[in-house]
Amino acid sequence: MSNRKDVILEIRNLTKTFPGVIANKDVDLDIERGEVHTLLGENGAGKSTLMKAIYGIYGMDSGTVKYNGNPLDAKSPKDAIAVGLGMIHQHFLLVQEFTVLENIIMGLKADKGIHLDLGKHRSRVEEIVERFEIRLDLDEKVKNLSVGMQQKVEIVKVLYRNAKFLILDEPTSVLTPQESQGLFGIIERLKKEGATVIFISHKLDEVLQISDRITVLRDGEVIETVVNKDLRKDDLSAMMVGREVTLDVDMPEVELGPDGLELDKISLVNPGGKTVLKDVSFSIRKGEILGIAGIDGNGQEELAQVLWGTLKASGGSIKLHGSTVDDLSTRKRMDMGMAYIPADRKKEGLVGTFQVSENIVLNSYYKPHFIKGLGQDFGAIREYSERLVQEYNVKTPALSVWAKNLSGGNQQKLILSRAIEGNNDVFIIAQPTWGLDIGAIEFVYRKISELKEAGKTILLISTDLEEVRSLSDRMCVIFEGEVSETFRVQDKQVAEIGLLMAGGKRREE
Amino acid sequence: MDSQFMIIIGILLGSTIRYTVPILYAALGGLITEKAGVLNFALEGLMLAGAFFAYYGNLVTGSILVGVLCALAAGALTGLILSISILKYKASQLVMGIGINIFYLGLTGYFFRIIGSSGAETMVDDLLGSIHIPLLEDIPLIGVLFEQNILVYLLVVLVIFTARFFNKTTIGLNLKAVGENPYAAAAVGVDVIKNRTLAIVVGSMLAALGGGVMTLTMARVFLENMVNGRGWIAFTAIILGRYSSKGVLIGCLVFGAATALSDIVQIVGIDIPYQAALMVPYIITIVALVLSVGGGNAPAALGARYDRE
Ligand SMILES: Nc1ncnc2c1ncn2[C@@H]1O[C@H](COP(=O)(O)OP(=O)(O)OP(=O)(O)O)[C@@H](O)[C@H]1O
Ligand SMILES: [Mg+2]
Repeated sequence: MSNRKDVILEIRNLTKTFPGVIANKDVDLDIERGEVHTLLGENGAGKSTLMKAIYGIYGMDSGTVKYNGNPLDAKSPKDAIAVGLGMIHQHFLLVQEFTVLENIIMGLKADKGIHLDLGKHRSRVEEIVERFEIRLDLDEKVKNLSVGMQQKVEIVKVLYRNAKFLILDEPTSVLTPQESQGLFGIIERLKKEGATVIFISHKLDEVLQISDRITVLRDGEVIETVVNKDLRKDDLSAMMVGREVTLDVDMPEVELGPDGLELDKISLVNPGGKTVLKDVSFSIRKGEILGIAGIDGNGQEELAQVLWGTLKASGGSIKLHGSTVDDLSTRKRMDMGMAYIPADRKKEGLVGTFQVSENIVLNSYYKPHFIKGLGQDFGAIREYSERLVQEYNVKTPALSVWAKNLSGGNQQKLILSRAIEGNNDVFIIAQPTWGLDIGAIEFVYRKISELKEAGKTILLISTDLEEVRSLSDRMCVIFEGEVSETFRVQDKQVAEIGLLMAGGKRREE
Repeated sequence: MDSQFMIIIGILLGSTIRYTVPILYAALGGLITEKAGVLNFALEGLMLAGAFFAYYGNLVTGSILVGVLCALAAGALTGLILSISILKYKASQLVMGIGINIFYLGLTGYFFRIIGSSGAETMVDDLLGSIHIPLLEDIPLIGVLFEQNILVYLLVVLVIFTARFFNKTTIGLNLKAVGENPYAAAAVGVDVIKNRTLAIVVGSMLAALGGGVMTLTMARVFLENMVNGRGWIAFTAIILGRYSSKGVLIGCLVFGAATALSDIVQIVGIDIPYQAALMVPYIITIVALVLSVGGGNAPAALGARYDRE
């Protein structure tokens, strides 16, 4: 049987270690030409590392990789790109200061000489963008793009290089279901054109929808490869975590207290003169979770930043525990009990080249219990970090490891742990489960419900409508910087909410 | 217009150019290095090395061309040492830069004393001749701009070329990507180490040539510590010029003009302490640059060390 298979990528005995961790152990894997092959595994299972080793970003300790029958010993991505591989990384690898177009074309050779023919590139990129129906402003700087948009830039970057073998490391983790469907459309199309795809995702519905075969990794080892036929989500989670997982949360009934957070006509005009937020008003009571649903890039990030004090509102007023905080710094707001879990963990959440423990006390290092004399009390910091890492199951070989070396999901757990454990009582939580495996999502949902039970005020911002619906008491929808009326989750149908998210109500008017 | 005024303007323009050219070479070199994400703290030392070796090459062979080549070689060699220590052995960019500065201050001073004490003639005679551009050189007031030596014209070409290089070429775009986010650049197949090495070497050669210009076309002799802070002015011009060729050009020109002006003030005999007059160009440069362009815009990965994952 095996001789009939047309194997395009053959991995044998691949082992990759980092100091203190075996990220991949004796991995054997065959990818067949023209298939969509999903890698499934918990956070830190070694999916990204395996892909990076093939792609030439990491050197491997031992093992062989063959592509199209020829040894592929990529010393750098250049070698992999040269034979037709293309990879979309879990964490965007974009130049913030460059425009979308510049990001797409960087690294390419000119057709002739060294002249950069932007016009020619532009028309070619436009062609692709049109063919795959991707909406993208080529002249916008990437730093002004939402994460969802940045993801699209990464996709176009790979498409533009005409890759025949695509590695997509969690490309949908920040996309809305609609956007993900768009991406799957692209994948189907590429598949028809003969491309092969390795897909990584924690979203099991998607995995079942798009995959031909699925390989499960656990602790760096291949557990099994199955054909995607008659599989259910439960089968997948059982293979992955070793037990069944349900994401149905039972939110506790809580006696609501007074308003913890009030927004009155918050508006924001960006430096470019564009209105990003318009008269956003709502209030959240203690013990209540208010969810904001909406497609990424409609002002969510900015709203969170205005609340957090890193952006200054152009108008309106914010009250925390009943007192106005408009002119207070972020630090002051933190001292008043505000905590923030940002959507963009690389930009706002972590200092990549700080150690895990340093990142854990990033929001609290100055508090008295971490201070000894004129310096830090490193003993106390270590103890605290150890506890959080343990409790939140942050997989790391040591507390001294750089945060950027944690797997994506573990970075997210770190950020969550520090916000939740900081004795805070008003929470701005954006995309809390971005990149988490379902075991971890279950854990986070439980933590959020505990916060609610303890009477905390919680604003949940998420592009995952299901998440918003299952966690929130009340919710609203943000579209182009305006929020809808808030309503109780059970009072509106999903379809109706979907319409709001697409700006439906506005169009009717 | 009275002729005395005309003459003063002529002198002013001429010496503005003379003061601008060396630092502009160094600043351009520094700019290229920093665009690739590597801080160049060694500009002062590189200029000093260039000044000495250009002078020495010329002194020994009597050929200006050899002088120029010596400066370039000194720059290239130093650049290579910088590249290897910073990129391969991950030495601190700051420490290496400062080290180079101190090293050349000592080395050139020492060599110069050896040459001086040998009793030989220490003045180079052959100055680089000016190239007169017909017609343009006859324009009143600014005619002086068109009777410069070849290194000045070369610099004009270089400034234009650098601006185009960064904005209109693929390799320029890649180099900028390396300075902004080396990991993103590497992921699309750009060789970060190669790009940075090239940027450091080429940048160091230009900075050294800037020093060479001082001994080849201006002073005709080497003096201990003759660069005297010009490397640091170049360094500042890059920052305040917001990391663009244009900004750097403006910054260096303002400094050149201010220095020229302070000369005139002293010559004409306006009564201010000469130390104050010497200070003026530095102050004017910084004020002008802060007002005109401000800071910021540094490559995002500037100064950060790069580890291949
Ligand atoms: N550069 C690095 N240095 C040290 N350790 C690393 C590095 N990259 C990954 N690791 C470790 O290797 C293990 C596997 O990480 P990897 O990123 O491959 O996981 P993953 O399966 O992609 O997880 P996730 O679903 O969270 O993205 C983790 O324990 C991680 O901490
Ligand atoms: Mg990963």
